[in-house]
Amino acid sequence: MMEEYEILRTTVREFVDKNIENIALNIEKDGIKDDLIAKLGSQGFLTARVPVESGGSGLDDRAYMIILEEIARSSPSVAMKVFITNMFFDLYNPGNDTVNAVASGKMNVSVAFPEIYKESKETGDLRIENGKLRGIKRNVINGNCGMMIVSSSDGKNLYLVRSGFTAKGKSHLGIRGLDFSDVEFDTGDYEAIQNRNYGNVTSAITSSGKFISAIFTGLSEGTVDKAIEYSKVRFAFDHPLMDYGPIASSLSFMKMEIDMIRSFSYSASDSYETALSKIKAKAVSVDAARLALQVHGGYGYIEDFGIEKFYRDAMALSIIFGNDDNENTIVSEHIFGGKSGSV
Amino acid sequence: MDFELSPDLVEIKKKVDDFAKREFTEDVAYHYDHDEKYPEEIFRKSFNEHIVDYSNPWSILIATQELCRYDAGLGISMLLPYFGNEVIALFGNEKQKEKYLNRVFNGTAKMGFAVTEPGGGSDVANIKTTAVKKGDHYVLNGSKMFITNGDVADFFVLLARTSEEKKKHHGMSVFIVERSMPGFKSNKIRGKLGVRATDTAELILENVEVPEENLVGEPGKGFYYIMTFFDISRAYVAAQALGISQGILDRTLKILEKRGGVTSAGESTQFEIADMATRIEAAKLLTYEAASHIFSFNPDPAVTSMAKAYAAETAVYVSQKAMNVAGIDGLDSGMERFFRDAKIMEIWEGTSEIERLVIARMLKTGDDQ
Repeated sequence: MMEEYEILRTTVREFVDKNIENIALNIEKDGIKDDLIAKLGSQGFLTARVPVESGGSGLDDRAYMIILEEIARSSPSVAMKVFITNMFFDLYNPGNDTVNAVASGKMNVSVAFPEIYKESKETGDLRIENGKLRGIKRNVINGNCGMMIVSSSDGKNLYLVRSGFTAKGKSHLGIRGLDFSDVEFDTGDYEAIQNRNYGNVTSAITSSGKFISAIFTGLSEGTVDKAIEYSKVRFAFDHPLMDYGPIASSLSFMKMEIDMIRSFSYSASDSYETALSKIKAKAVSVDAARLALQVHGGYGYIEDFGIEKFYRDAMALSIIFGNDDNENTIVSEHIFGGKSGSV
Repeated sequence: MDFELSPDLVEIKKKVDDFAKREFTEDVAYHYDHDEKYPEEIFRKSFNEHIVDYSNPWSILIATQELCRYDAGLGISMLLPYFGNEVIALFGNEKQKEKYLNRVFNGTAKMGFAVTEPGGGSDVANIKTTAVKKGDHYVLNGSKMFITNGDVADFFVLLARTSEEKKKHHGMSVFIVERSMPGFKSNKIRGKLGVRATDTAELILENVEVPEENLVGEPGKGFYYIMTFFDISRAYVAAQALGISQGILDRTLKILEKRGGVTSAGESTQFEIADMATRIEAAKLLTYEAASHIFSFNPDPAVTSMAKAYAAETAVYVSQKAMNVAGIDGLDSGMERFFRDAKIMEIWEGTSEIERLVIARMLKTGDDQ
């Protein structure tokens, strides 16, 4: 089994090298193009979590984590696209037609997260009026899609919206391969989702801690690995950077952190370990990207080296996946046996 | 010892604040950041309104801090036309001051400072650009990287190697190189993470003939001139970082105000705000101390490096904390611009690593002092 995972990792890495790494800069500027979406679909990545009998790849947790990691090493935006698409089906599978349409790159689906942003007063307002779904959802990642799962303002009801919404993109800090939009709804073309795996989007995200951890881990490793390679070839004061203690130890320490989080996340089995995986991987990502940029110096600060993107993406993703309130509740239950830190 | 700004400086601070509030609006800042465009029009206004008084170093420091508090890219751009002037002021001759510095200070020319090369940033002594003497001029060949003002400056103070010596930092000299000299080329560098209103370029020198009279000071002393410059300029960079940090804290407090005030934010957030503010205050004291030594002609390079590194790391620290406090609303707001701007502080004019080396080497025991 271990061997199969490693074969999968090699396969995904080859796919990424061939189809993503060489256009990673373009993805930042122009978004993820249809042909790449189609390739991700035909590899089965977009429907990784959909059971085989429903037309998906039916991959287990670890295999899916390896895919997210390997893609995030090169493009966190693309990893996020894979994650959102799988989350869509995890929340609700409208049927094999949709699965096939997504897998063949003909249909682009998304999930609106805004209900998790408790800190914001501007998440928008969505309501049913005369049988129509109306209103606005602000700050939606990948809002420019064909079909979206969206929750009511109170987070209690989930809707699958098939058409009748428009996304207005805004310039934003990170994950620039995907749009960051305010989405306006005025549609009768929707259905209320009844039988679902999760009560709401928030619980789906909380349950996805291991997968979110995989995205952060891949991002951290991608950027730190680039810095490690650079430290071997960049000379200052007659030595490669790796010869200098502060640089070598920072990079080694960061790499060890990443390795520990990765192996821990693979075996995370309960809600505490899932929460821990997300919190730790997220906490390391901004530091990893900052270190990698610093090692690259001025070259890290310009887009050509593909380093500054990780710094933006790490910070943006740390926010996009919400503050750790829900995870902290789980951690608190595990550590204190109840609610803590609530004053 | 007095921790109050003098009445003059209070007035200057207010004048700069008013200017920055009026000119660096969110729309304007967004526009120049997005388009990566040098804000010539706004610089003209700041020049005409005498926003930066170059006859008074404290005024420059306070102006730097306050301009960056509203926007780093635009703020630094107001100061950049003069970038490197200290090299000529300290080591140039009267003719050079008259010919070049006067034009900078009367607003008819911009200057730049060209040291870094593609293969050498921190390792200044390792630069490869050569200057070979031929009759009454020098012939310069090489390239310079990440040169601020590279595409807009009319002339540069530029470091080149004039002779091969046993010790690499010997044999380097500073020249004033004009853009109009044949063989000089610049390529604008696009796609910076932050401070995108500032201009950055690569310079190419192909057999550029520079008259001997453009040699600054003595040949072979260039490395020392540049290091002396850094001992001054790093205090100003500390002020940039300080301004960015304060600007981020201002914005964070405004966000919390909208959410019902700092005290209703929960104690964890309150602690973070307290840490941000404490670090900023500490960075300010270090910066002002470094500046005070420099401006009284008794620089303390260890303190200058402490100020620069600590203020830079404070800017990055508060930028990350603030993004977390702002949450999703911060992703498409001015806050994310501050986050991107802050990171350059740890890199330019001496990385934090270089500053730490300077600090460690310069420390003295009580007996030595």
